[in-house]
Amino acid sequence: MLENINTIVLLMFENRSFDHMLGHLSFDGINTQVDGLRSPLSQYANVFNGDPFPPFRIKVDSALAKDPPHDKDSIAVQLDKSDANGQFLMDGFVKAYINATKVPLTPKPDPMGFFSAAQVPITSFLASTYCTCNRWFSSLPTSTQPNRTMAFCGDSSIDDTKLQLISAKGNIFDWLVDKGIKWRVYHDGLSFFTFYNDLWHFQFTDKFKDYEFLFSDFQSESDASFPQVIVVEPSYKDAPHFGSDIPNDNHPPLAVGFGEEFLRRTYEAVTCNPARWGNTLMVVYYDEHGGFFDHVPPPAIGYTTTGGEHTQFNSLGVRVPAILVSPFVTKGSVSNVLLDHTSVLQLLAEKFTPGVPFSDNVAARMGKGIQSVSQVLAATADTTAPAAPSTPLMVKSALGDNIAVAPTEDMPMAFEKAAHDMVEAHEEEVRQKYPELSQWEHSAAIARNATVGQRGAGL
Amino acid sequence: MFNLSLNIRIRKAGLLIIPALLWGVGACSPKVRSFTASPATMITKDDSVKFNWKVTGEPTLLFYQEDAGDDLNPGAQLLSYKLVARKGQKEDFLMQILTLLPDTSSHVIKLKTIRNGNALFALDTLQTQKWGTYFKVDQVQSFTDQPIVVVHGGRTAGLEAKGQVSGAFKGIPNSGPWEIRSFLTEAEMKDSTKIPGHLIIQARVIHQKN
Repeated sequence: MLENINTIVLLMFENRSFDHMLGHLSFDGINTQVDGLRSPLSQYANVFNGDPFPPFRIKVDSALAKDPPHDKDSIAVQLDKSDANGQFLMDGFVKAYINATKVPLTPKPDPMGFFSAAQVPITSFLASTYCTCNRWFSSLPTSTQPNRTMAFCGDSSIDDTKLQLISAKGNIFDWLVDKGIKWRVYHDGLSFFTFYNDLWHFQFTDKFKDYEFLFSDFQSESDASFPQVIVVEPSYKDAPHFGSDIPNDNHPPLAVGFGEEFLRRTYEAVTCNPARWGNTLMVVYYDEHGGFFDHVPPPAIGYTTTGGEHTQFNSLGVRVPAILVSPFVTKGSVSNVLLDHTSVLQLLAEKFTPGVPFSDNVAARMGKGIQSVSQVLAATADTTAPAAPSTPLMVKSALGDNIAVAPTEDMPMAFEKAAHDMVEAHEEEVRQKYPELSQWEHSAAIARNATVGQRGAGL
Repeated sequence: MFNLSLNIRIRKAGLLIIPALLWGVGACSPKVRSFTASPATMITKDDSVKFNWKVTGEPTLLFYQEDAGDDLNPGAQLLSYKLVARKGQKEDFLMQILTLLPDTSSHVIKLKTIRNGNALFALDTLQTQKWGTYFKVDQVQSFTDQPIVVVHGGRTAGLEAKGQVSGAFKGIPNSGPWEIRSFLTEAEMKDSTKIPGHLIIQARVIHQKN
């Protein structure tokens, strides 16, 4: 089957758990094979100050009051390892949220909410039409930067998200170049790979294209140049934004409607050319759970970071939504194969370097039970591509942050610093690639001077 | 700065805006210095809630009611009171959020276990600040497979099997310490991963002022 796949598309969203996005599939009887939520919801209740907080159905897709915590210390609280049996109880999500945010406690704390199909129609449609992965866990029980680094390098030198540039050792792009594989990144805004200074040089080439070209390239680019591996990047909530650009990476406190629209557009693009779609596999997944509740304890597969203090993690991270969209999956299927972000790297190695693993660490993780995405693929192809729901997406949201307020939180400041460092090193190239960054730097400096009278975040 | 108290009698759903109840003229920005409700967290219909506040600026009390029902208490409602203080273009606010429960409601008591030899203990306290003293236990039901002993309010009850009901705690306030004990089974003694992480009962609670 792998020989029939000509294009692998990777679309990684931000910070939502499996039960939060897909738990409704089993709860509402859309697909009872999905290991999501089931009645009674009280069985999943998290306990805080003696009182239970069961999952609840979110009524309106709106911006949240706070971003639920998802650093490694908060995740340890969320997993809540039992003293009695050594197992993760998955009952500390409310405790971590209240401790971190100090918001007033209500019967419906945000981390326990789950969406209905009406609020995540495209995610729900793709999951119920193609293949839902019941056991895809984030690679590490920590935050965005280490998990994305595991996803695209197969290793991580860092253990948490900080104001830092990150080592890209073992990265997917150098690997693809080395193997002579055609690849491209389509980015809707500043690329996440700005955090990796060793990868900046790629950004100023045609390897990194504006997202708006995705549809037309799928539609009409010649096979000779069309990429075999595509990374699609949403517009990141924590990256610099200007004007009408609305982030759509689903990072809280964003409403998810913007991400749903981005997912719909991406699905339309990959299916617009029937001949090309017939040989395409798209992986839709999330970097980590973002502090939202999930009921499945992660397996005890450990990892030690390659840099810094060589932090030891004793399990995978929290389970995340993952959907395989392709003619090469059984329509409406559910997979119980154990997967994490490095399962994609296993797939790439199987496809492009049969018999030779992507890296030593990816091979080691395979030895610990993490399997390849290829294990989920079907024996026969079904090239039909049902149209995604076209009903309007209703989002209740204010405009959100703007440049009148300079970033103050870790991840936005880290994005700002990475962008600034890239400007310092490649001023003219960045001006051509990301013209909006020039005004961003100017405005952020004004905002910061106006609010605290000093410059920060390395600016 | 002005102080005010207001009694609101709970009757029905809707959006209530009480504008300009009282306003203060101060030299600085608007500020909600305090905003308290009594009872503070949970009520039943026909309860009165007393609000007290201290604000600088023009106060407006916004009220919003929404469904908070779940498997156990489908009729529960969430009552949100937002006190906003405004002065010029600036504002400040504090929230009070109450749960409106049916007269008889059910609540899971899920306690994290600690192993001591061949026994399991699970203990936690339901806060009086949240539950007050009017919510009283009617009966408890075991949600645990093996025999358990439940201790609460100076009384003890044994529940032999999942689903068994006991009225041993009838009339005792739901708030306060709850303890559940159990012995390990042979299978759990041999394989500690089989030990339950929680011991669980369900309490049926009645709102009873007398």
